[in-house]
Amino acid sequence: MILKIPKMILHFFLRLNNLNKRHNLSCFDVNYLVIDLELTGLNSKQDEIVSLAWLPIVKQRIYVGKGKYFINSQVGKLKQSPIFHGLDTGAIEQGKPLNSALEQLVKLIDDSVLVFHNASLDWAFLLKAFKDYNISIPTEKIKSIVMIDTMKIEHRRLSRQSQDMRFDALNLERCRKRYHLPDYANHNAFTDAMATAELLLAQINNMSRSKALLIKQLL
Amino acid sequence: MDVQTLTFLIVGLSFALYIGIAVWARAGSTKEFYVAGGGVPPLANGMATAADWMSAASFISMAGIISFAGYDGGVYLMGWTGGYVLLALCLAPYLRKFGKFTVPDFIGDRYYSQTARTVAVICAIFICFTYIAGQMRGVGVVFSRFLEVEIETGVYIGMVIVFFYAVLGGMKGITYTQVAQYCILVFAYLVPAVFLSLMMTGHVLPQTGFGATLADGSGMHLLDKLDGLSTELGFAQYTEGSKSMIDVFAITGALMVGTAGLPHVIVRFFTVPKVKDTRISAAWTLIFIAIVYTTAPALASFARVNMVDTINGKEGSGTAYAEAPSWIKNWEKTGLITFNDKNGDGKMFYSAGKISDPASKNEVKIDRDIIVLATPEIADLPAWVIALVAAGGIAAALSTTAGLLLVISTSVSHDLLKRTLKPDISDKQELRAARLAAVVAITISAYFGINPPGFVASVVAFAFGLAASSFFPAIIMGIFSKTMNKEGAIAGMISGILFTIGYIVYFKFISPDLNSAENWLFGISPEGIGLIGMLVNFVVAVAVQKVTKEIPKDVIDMVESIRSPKGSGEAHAH
Amino acid sequence: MTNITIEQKELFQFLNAQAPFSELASTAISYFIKHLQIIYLSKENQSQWFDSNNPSLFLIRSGLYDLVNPQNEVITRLSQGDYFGYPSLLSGETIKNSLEVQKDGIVYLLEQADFDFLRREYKVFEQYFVRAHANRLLSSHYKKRQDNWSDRKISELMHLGAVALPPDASIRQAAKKMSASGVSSIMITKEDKLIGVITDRDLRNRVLALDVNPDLVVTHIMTSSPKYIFENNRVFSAFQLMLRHNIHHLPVLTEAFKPIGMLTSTDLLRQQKSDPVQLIGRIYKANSVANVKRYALEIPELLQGFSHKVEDISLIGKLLSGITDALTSRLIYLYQEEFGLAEVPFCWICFGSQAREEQTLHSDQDNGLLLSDDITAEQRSYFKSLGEFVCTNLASCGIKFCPGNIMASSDPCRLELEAWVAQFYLWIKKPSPSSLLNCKIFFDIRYVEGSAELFDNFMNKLVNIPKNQLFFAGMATDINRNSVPIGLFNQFKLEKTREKEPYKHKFIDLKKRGVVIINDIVRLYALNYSVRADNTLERLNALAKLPDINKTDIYNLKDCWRYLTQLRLRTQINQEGLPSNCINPENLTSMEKHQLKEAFYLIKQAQQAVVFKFARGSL
Repeated sequence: MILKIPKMILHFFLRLNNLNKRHNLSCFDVNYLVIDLELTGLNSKQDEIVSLAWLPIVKQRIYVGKGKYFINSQVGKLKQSPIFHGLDTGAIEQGKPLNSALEQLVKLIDDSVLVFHNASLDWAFLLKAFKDYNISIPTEKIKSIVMIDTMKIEHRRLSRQSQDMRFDALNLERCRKRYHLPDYANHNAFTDAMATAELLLAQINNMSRSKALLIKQLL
Repeated sequence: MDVQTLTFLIVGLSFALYIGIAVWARAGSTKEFYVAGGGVPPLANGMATAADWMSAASFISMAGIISFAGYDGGVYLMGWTGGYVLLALCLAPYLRKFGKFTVPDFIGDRYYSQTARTVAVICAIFICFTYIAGQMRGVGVVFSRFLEVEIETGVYIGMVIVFFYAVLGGMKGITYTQVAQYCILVFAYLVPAVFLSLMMTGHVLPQTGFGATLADGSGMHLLDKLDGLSTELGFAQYTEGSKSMIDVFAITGALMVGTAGLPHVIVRFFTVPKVKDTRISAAWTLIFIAIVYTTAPALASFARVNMVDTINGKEGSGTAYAEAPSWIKNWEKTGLITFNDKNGDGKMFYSAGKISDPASKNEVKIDRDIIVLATPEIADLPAWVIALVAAGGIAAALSTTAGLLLVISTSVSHDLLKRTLKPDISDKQELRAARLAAVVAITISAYFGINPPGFVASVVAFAFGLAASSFFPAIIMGIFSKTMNKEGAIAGMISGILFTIGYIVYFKFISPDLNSAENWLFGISPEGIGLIGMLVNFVVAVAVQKVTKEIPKDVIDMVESIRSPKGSGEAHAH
Repeated sequence: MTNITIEQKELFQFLNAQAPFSELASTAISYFIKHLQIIYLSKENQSQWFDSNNPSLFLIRSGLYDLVNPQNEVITRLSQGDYFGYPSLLSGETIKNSLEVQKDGIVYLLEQADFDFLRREYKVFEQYFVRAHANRLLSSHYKKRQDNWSDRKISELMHLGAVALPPDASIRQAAKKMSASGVSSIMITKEDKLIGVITDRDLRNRVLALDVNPDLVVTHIMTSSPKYIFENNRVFSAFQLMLRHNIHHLPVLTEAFKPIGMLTSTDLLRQQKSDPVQLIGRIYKANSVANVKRYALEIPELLQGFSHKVEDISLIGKLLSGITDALTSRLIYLYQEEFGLAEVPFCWICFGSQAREEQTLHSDQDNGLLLSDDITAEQRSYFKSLGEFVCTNLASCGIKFCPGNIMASSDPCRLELEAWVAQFYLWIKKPSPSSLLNCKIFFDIRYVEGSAELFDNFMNKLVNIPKNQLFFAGMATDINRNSVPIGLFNQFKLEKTREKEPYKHKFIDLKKRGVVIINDIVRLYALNYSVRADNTLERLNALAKLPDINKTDIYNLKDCWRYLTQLRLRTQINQEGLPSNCINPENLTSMEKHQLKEAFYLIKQAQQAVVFKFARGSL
């Protein structure tokens, strides 16, 4: 408990600092950019990004054609079995250097609310990658970024309903099941980004139920 | 009006007529067809069948062959006429009674085997291909002459026209269009013959003019003059012939029995509703065929005398190339006549031998396929006759080609695709496959039309040979043998057709230089080898049948019922 | 799938299994994926997606939605793989129907411009939605038709709750139970299966009148294997059944044969506001030929009144055929009453339009008598006069004599079973024009009255007559003598009225140039595959179940048939100067013209295919 106090203080200040205008926007009006990464592991210090995808949501519409998908051609090691992410070394070789993808991404991030499923993990990897490739983002820009985590939203919802959570209850697939969203057979960054985007739409529609819903309520 | 314009006009008019009839027939039949349902009178059906029957080979090439080969060319005449009689009298009634529409269907059911059917279908496709190749050549000759282009271009143009006519237009099958085609064809054939007969012998009928004395006051018989000319120029005597007896026999035989297997003609016997009408219309067909076929030798002789006289001059010393009649120049453009002034006297001279051979006096090479088309020009007949002959040649080729293409397209789309490979294919896909098959068929045939393995008539003779060696034994044994089983029939068909194809390909494509009597098997030319192929088929079939399983009982009953004296369609309660 | 990127893979797999994309090139699917928008459609947000100025195509990926028409009736329930929104895209009209979200879900949305692109580039895509639109129009029509009582489901008007007893109950128990439940009939069931029925009348006639001991078990007096009807059948069918067999109680079963209630004639009469059906009832009860004729006189007038009320023209055909059946049955009954019962089994059969249940007021008689084999000369003359009696009286009832003499009164149509079979055998074996015409009439054949067993026997023999290729070739050729009214450049070919009136009418005969061709094609297939049904739609349904037949072709024919029949309906209303069944395409909207051409095109294709399959392309 005591350990949590500094965190709370920090949050308070962050909130103050981030009296971001966007926080008071209706969640149906803002534009989102849904991002998903595939990683060789969970440690941002030593593991790498295998592939990266994003999709825009504009006025509650997911534009599939405007989404992007990159495979990192410079990935050093493929720790995980290729079966999981479906990419083998051959596909990697045909990819592009990660910095081209990151440069495109940087241009997009300040226009939209960023959406992840498990934001902390993916965001950590992204920040590390920006640093590695010397892509500098102004601090105020970083501060103004609004990030939404579908996993967190789901976590909150489930704990409010005091359902006991199994260890995998918050993975994307299980979250989607609870909203009766279709099963996707393919697992790659793009499909997962699409799946996350749909999950977000389902979540906000279920949370609002015709009442107003502000971005800050999703944080 | 010059010949070319006139030709455009008359060919154009003939097409307008076909299309007009098609439109009229469609509109007419829908109006009252509930009540009327009358069907086609036997006379008209006879004409339609004759149009089906008489291909570009009969129209363009037969007189040419007779004209050049004399007596030898007569084998085509005998073979085709005999074949028709054989088909009409001996086979068609049985096939009709069996109730099968096509030869592959008959074979498939009689030999209770899908494999037999498939083999037969593939044979049929092969035969049709060969036949169409001959037709394409014929159409090519007509177009190349009248558009004054190379023969290749002529074939391409013909290809397009045939495609539009047969595949897109769906012109096949409208009986009255074929009646019109027959009328144009026979008119176009008779007019120059009558003209020539009048000019040369004073007889109106070419058939009597053929045996009459010449009208030039010499009192000489036409055929005597021809014999004289031939020997003088180093050819074999016109009425003698150079082919061996056995070869003549083989070619005639192959043509005769091959007819029975030609898929597009058999169908015509079934489309007449009543059995009685079938007989009457078959008789009419025979008459209509005879009109053309009896004219052919006369036309050939007139053309021959006329041609030699024109090229070599009245004195027989040659005509100056500079003063050559326009028809020689016109045909030179198509590449079907070539002049090589070997002795440099500026005069053309025609005799036996090759123009490339310095030992021979011959300086003019004439393609046999032009004889019917060139005759009106040679004899200086009016321009409209020349145009008419062109229209006739196209009519002959179109009617036959349309029928053959249909056989190919239905065989591919229905027999092979729908029946064998993909039974639940949709109507749309089936029709599309049919069109595609027709396109492929036309294209391949056009290739053979440009690079022909022989003259139109001999290419067609190959088709007959293939039919003789594959279908004839299977049909005959299917009807008349109660013991022939599927194994025998399949083995027979395959070995027969392979033997024949092998022989033709060997002498026509692999080593054409060996293609002469001394190298032939039993002295039989590739044109006649179908007869031996047929024997091979019989022998293999019987041999295989002896060592394989017996034919099922119900098939025996079926064979017996076809051969029973009761008329087809006898009503009996069962 | 070669050019499908990883991004598109998931959507591609879904779309590729989905009509019309399953028939399109993968480039079309790629295009769709690139331009689609994914939305989450919920009750709360649905209104924002439907904008008449900005229509879109919607494809459901998940969720459940009811499509509702302006009258607030549910047209259909949509779920995964269903499309909506296309009517406005196609017609440019405002959105009429609305959506009721039953379960939220993911929906793919395609905007007009992109939809138009696919429509332009891919014919199959275009056809799919045009046809789907046509079907939607049809089904909304069928919806409306339910106002017609005779089209309603049995389950809507029957007494719910089966009053039933086991077979070992006594007669007394049955009577007690009936009176306690206040019903006039009771079902006898064994293990939930219906085995018999007892009615008030049975108690009177079979118990009281005959002094039967009421303590006997019910099986003694019950009507065993009674007629029954399924809950999903139409009321009209129940009517026909009751009238034909003169019964007043009809057990209603589920599709699993479980009895769930009883339908009585009173239930029906309460519903019955329509005179023609009442007329059928009266005909079935007429006690003299004079009465039969008197009732028949009412037919044209009644029908005229009725035809304004019904919306489905095919119901009129059914009704008229039903009336003719009733007249025939009653006349046969009256004949037997006067001249004695027939000593041998016989069966009255009908052909042509009466058999297909497509009779019109102008149809003439097409009927025959099927007699059992080996009958005596005396019996033969009995049936001869039966045939003459019925046909003459039918004629005086307004059903004209057949000009082709296809009537039971003429000797060739009054045959013993074997002779009939031989007759058909002859037609099949000798496909002359006249026998082909015969086949077209005689192969549409239906039982009217008499021994059902004899008829069954006959039909089995007919199906087993070997049919050779020449026969089918003849039929196929014959079908192609008729042609759809589409000209060389995809224009309608119009016919003109013959009268020399100041205004000549141009028209298309929908029946002769459309429906008849489909009927003929379907009959040919039915014969070829030995399908035993006499109605075109029933034949198509049976054919669709066969393995070697392409389902799409069958569905196409069915769609065309329904569409044309539907359009024929319009010809009945306000088409002055035009012959019946004819339509002037100028009076159609461009959408309808398009659909009509589409239908004719499909018919033409089916025609060509028939020639290909059965006559090898030669005519």
